[in-house]
Amino acid sequence: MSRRVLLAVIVAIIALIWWWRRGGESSEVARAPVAAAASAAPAPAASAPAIDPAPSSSAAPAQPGTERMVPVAPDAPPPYPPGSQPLTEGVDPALSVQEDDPIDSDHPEALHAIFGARRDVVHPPDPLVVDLAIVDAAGKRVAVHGARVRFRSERATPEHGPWFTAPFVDDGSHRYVATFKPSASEKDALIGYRVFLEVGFDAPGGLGPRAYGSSMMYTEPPRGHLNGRYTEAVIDGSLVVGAGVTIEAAGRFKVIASLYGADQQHAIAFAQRSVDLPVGDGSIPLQFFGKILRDAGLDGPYVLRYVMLFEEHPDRGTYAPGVTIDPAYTTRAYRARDFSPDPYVAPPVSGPVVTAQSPSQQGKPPPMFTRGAPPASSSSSSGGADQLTAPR
Amino acid sequence: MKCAVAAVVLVLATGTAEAGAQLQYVFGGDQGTVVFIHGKSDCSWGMSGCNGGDSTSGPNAYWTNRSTNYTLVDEATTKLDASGGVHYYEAFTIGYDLENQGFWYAANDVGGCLQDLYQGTNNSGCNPNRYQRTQFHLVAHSAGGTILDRLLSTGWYSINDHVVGNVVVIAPALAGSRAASALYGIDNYGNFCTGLVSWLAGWALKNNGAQSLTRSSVIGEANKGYAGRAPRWLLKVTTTGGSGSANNNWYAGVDEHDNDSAMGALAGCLGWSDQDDMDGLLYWSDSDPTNNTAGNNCPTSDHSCHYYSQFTGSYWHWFESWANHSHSRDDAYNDMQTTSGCYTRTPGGCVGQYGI
Repeated sequence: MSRRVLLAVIVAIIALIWWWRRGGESSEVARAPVAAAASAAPAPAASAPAIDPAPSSSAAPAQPGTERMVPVAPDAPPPYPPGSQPLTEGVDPALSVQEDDPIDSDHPEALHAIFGARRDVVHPPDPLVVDLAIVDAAGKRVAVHGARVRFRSERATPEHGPWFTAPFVDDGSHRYVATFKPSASEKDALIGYRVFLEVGFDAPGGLGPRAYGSSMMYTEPPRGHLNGRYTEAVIDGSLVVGAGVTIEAAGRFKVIASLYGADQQHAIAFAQRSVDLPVGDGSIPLQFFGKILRDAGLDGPYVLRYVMLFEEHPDRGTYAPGVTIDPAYTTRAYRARDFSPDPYVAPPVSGPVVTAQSPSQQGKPPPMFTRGAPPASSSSSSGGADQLTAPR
Repeated sequence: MKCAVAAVVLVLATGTAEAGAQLQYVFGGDQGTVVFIHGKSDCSWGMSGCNGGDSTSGPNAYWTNRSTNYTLVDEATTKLDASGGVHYYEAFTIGYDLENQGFWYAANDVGGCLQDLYQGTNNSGCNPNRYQRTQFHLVAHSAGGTILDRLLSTGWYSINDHVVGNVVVIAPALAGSRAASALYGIDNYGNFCTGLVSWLAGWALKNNGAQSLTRSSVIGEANKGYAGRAPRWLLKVTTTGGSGSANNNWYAGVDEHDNDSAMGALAGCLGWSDQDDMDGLLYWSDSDPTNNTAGNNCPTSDHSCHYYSQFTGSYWHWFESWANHSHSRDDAYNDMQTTSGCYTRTPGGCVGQYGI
């Protein structure tokens, strides 16, 4: 049997198994994925039996999505301004969710690898800490061997590194923890924005090696800090809380915060704001939009939670996160009806409008393509082929 | 000479050689401007991985069916009126590198290019013809949605001030993707799974673009306000999933069907369950996040929106497409919209008729 035929058979077997697991609705034999086999990766070690030849395409089941429909779009713009939104649940910005992936693709519910950085934000000299647990279908943690994590910076390549490795250690209950405390030179090699990490282990049950990628932040802290001085006022029907900051180097800084009820359990609104600040003491105003507070119907005092300062570098696409302050501040006892119920109305677009028809755009290179014949409005299967007219 | 040395040092220091973004003027039209943002590929000036495209085709290759040369860009900028008249928006595509750099840097490249477009400048190097359009619609596929979400959530480059209408994100990786071992280049099939889909090969490599898009990375950014806070509606085209969706039922009648079986098999490699359906690459839960599952057009049955508290912004469950992750960006079925509706397996037609 030639290698190509063998590949085709193996692809078909895997595809068929997957099809059956999905509860295929057709009793027809599925079409063999011949085309895919021609470009498939090297064959797996296991051999596979042959299957019947592919049926004709007419045997394929009808496909959903062939009925015409009119998708419904929102009938009005969002009623909240940029930077102020309703919140159902606050989160610590120094954390993230964990990755969760099946280990055995043939039995995706059987074993899962759950892993991730204990803290998404790490500043030197703190260590990089990664948690790992292998859980079975009942959620019970199981033992794993050869578990380790390695780190590289975005400046390094997967092939050439440098990588820095730390082993996972079982805490006795099959909770695995890897702790990597970089030396001065290792810190220099890793620090920047996000550090890529690779978690690897020998999968239980002889399933073989596994490796999973993810990332975590490893940055210097922002050149400034929240100084604990807050102000508050009702402005244009909204609550505006000023977060006091002390800035050590001029730049662009952002503060985020989540507003809660007095019990610190009921989340109400999220706010963020970026401003340019000089060196010294300053304040960043956070607007909690009136309609959000009014609609929530929860009287104050309100508690400011999960506050964090960032130094931003929009020109690079990055930022340096600070530390979480939680709780940070309690407001006066406002009543929900003190705030405006009015929706946000975006300001009108200002400045001249420039289009393809504007005088300034005449004489520029034309589009690269022209369209083909327009589609017939009654047809569901025709379309104009596009012609390249001005290759560059 | 100093510049050359500096360039060499820079390449050595970064370990990669990302090429800058490029702005491509694809089609003319008089109804307005639509800018298309592709997913995880390298359609920058380098064009090292753009669905087989080269410097002649440019970034439009990402959106183009290799068999028919039909392109979603055409369908998504075509609108029919009640009398059967055909109207066209003009189309631009932005090509950028999401192979050799994390999505945060890629977002920076896209943001700089959009800024050049609304300013009529070439500060980023993407717009040497200095085209200027002060207002535009945005349409993205896959990780292109992640890019736009970052730009809109942060307000960086002031993109939001120049966007008109709703932003359409097709099969968007808004909550990232799984960190599956197969996608990371190691599987239990002797690397069979990791080499299945040619145009998706980047997902299976340990490159910075793929690794930046894992769920904890993207949600980690959202926790800090750098995703999930879009101040204008993002219309999500998610996946129907279910039997046959990821592999197109191996129905060979659709053009560029060579990806289908491989994509179906890849779904098996990644580990699929009926609790978390997928389009062959993305799970619906990762493409359909919102913190308001009681609103935002979320259905009450079948595939409802997936709750993520971080997504406090405006994320609208627009419709579910039966097209798999490949066909949702090139409209392989060639179903053009009509005046009485569009075909959800062909998202481009729906975008042109109802999305912009």
